[in-house]
Amino acid sequence: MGITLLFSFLGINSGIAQGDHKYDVQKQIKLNNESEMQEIILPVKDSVNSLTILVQSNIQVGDLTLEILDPKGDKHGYFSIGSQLSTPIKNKSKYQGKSGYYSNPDKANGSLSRTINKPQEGDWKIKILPKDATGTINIDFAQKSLAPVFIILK
Amino acid sequence: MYNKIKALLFILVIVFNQSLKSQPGIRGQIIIDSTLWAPVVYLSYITDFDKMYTLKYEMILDTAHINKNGGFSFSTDYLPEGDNLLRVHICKKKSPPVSLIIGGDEENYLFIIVNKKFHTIILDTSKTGIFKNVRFEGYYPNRMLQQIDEIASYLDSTSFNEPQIKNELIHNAIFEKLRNFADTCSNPVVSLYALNKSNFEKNYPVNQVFYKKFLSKWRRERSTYFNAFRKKIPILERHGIWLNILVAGIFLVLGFVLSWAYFKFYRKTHNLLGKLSIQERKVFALLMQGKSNKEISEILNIGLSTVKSHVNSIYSKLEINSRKEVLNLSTQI
Repeated sequence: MGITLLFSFLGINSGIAQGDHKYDVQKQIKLNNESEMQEIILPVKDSVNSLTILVQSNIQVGDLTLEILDPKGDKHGYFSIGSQLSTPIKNKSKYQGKSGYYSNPDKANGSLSRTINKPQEGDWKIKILPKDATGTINIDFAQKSLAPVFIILK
Repeated sequence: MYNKIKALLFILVIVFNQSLKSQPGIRGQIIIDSTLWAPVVYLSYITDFDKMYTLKYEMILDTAHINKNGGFSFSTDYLPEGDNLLRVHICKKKSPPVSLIIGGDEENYLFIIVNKKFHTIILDTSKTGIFKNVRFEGYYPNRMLQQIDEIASYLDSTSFNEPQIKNELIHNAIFEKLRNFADTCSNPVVSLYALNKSNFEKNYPVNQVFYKKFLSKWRRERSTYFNAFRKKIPILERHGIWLNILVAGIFLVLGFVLSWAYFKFYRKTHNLLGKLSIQERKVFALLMQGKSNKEISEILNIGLSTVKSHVNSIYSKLEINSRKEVLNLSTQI
């Protein structure tokens, strides 16, 4: 049980932009039979011209819903996926009949990529709503800014 | 003779092809990079616009193999009557069937509206990306979906060199355009598709007249999509109806109570007072003030016996027996 958070940004979870003022901060979240809502917060400064958020998830068990929210709470994309193991298995042979194209017919993958030009200043959120979920979520925040800023993921 | 047979056969082949083409169902052609994508198309049923970006195994209705020419087909005879929102998607090799890629160059899905009475043809033969340059033939609402997607795509193309306020104005204008599309669209599911892209959750509290008119226009529409939509705008629907019923009920009860009170007290009293003579009314008014017979005699300058006679007459006409009842009556007038 519980979420394991792994950060990777040049070995630390915050940093100062260099030269061209491009940032790239990644975060990995491991879910282990998790049902607790989590929020990843990215503070965005007014000087940021472009924000790209890429979320890639893979779950072996359970359901996962993920939302990108701006500082006003408006949704900028979401997805919801469910693995077969969260529900009674029916017509499994239908998916396995043409096997060879995929190796894990019970799993579920969800990817969401959003680029926001001139994003609102404030806390952007990635809301993670798992339901008995086991799997991995990789989040990548890329920013282009007019001025150097200090980034700390909350 | 030989030429005539040849021409006849040619016509027959064309007619046969045309009739095959117009058979109900979904047919398509898609060019995929076979090193990246598995040659299988999945068809999923979307029951609610909230589930457009939801993918679970139980939503997948059918699978179709993509042949070497890129062709695939689905039968649709098992679908419910009317228009249905479906999603076709493909998956990368080694990925599970439940794989949804939203945004970016590898977006892997396409929404379509399918009616089991008509045919839908999806042609995606460009090599610019999966479902990036689709041409629809057959059932007409799919071309309208493309128009909506095109309008909505401008939301992402606002320039980051513009000030925030200008971007907001542009976004609002695009949402307004989508609402206009929904308002004038002749297909109910397509109109909801447009509204769904117009950020209606934020708009309906400040633009209730529009949504009231919209729901009034489609009041006979009973599809799962409209039923779900009605639940999302409770102020207009649930509160509207129940508030009206509550207010009507309160006024009805109040009407009954007031009518009852009027008939029981006011009218009865006034009818009784109408029976009194002018002099008796003067005496009655003084009785209500709690004056004694002697005081009434002095005020009205009449004899004490006359006062007593008026009082007895008043008691008789008003069907009362004491001064206490006179005072009770006074509170009801």
